[in-house]
Amino acid sequence: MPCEGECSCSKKGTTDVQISSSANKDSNDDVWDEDRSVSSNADIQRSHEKQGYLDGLSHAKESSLQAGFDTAFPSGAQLGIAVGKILGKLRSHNDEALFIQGKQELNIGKIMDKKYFNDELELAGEHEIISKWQKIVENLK
Amino acid sequence: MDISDIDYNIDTDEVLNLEEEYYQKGYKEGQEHSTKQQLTEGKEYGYQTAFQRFLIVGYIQGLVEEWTVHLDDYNSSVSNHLVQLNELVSDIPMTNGDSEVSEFEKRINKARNKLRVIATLVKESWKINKLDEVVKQVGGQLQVSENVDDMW
Repeated sequence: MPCEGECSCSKKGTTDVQISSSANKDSNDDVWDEDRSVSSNADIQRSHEKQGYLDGLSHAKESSLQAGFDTAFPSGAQLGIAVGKILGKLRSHNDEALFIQGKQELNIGKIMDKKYFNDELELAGEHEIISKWQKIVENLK
Repeated sequence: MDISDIDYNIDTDEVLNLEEEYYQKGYKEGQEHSTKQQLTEGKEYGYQTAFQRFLIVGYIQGLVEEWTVHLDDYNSSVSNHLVQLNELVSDIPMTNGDSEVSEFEKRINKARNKLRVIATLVKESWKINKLDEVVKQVGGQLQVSENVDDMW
């Protein structure tokens, strides 16, 4: 029996699932046959779960983008301040070559490299590049 | 009551309930997956945006520290300005709430003006001449949105 959308889920016509074992001609009509009831049940499960999954994908909880933004914002601010401070001090020492090197190595693309962050995008310990340049700046005095 | 009818009805209900259950299970997984993805995406935007916006704060702090350390080299009239500038940037709000963001804007505007005054006084305008260019070079262009204000 193909799914005609009359079942309890909302999508129509996208599945063709054997709901009972009665369509199997090579055997008796014992609907309680364990093997076949297991396999048809697995088919139903797969198709309905898949349809649910696809529908769920397009319904991310609304505030999640903003929540992520707000969560990471203060950490990004701290990194920005740390890098800015290094550059301000480098600038003060009027060493053009070192300043240019600092701008390159402390660029956002290098600082935000995924390897410095864990799966939750939290900074894992101190930032290698920032620590390196903080030492360089300290030694300028 | 015919016993086979009862069996049939129970069977149908069970199938429908199972279908609904499977669908809901899949839906929940799909929703969790995309919610997590959006959370991650939001974090990336948050990092980038804040990084770029706060570069100038750190830069000013760095300049102020260096000026303060070498205060003897300058006219004493500058020290008062340095204290005021330091106050503007030292405890600037770092969260993304509405009031914090508008406080941030206010302070940055004042700090920029104060910075100009100081750099002129000590005759070191070269330290701040290309400030916005430096911020852009290091912070990159925002990839958040055409209109950054949409994010706030």
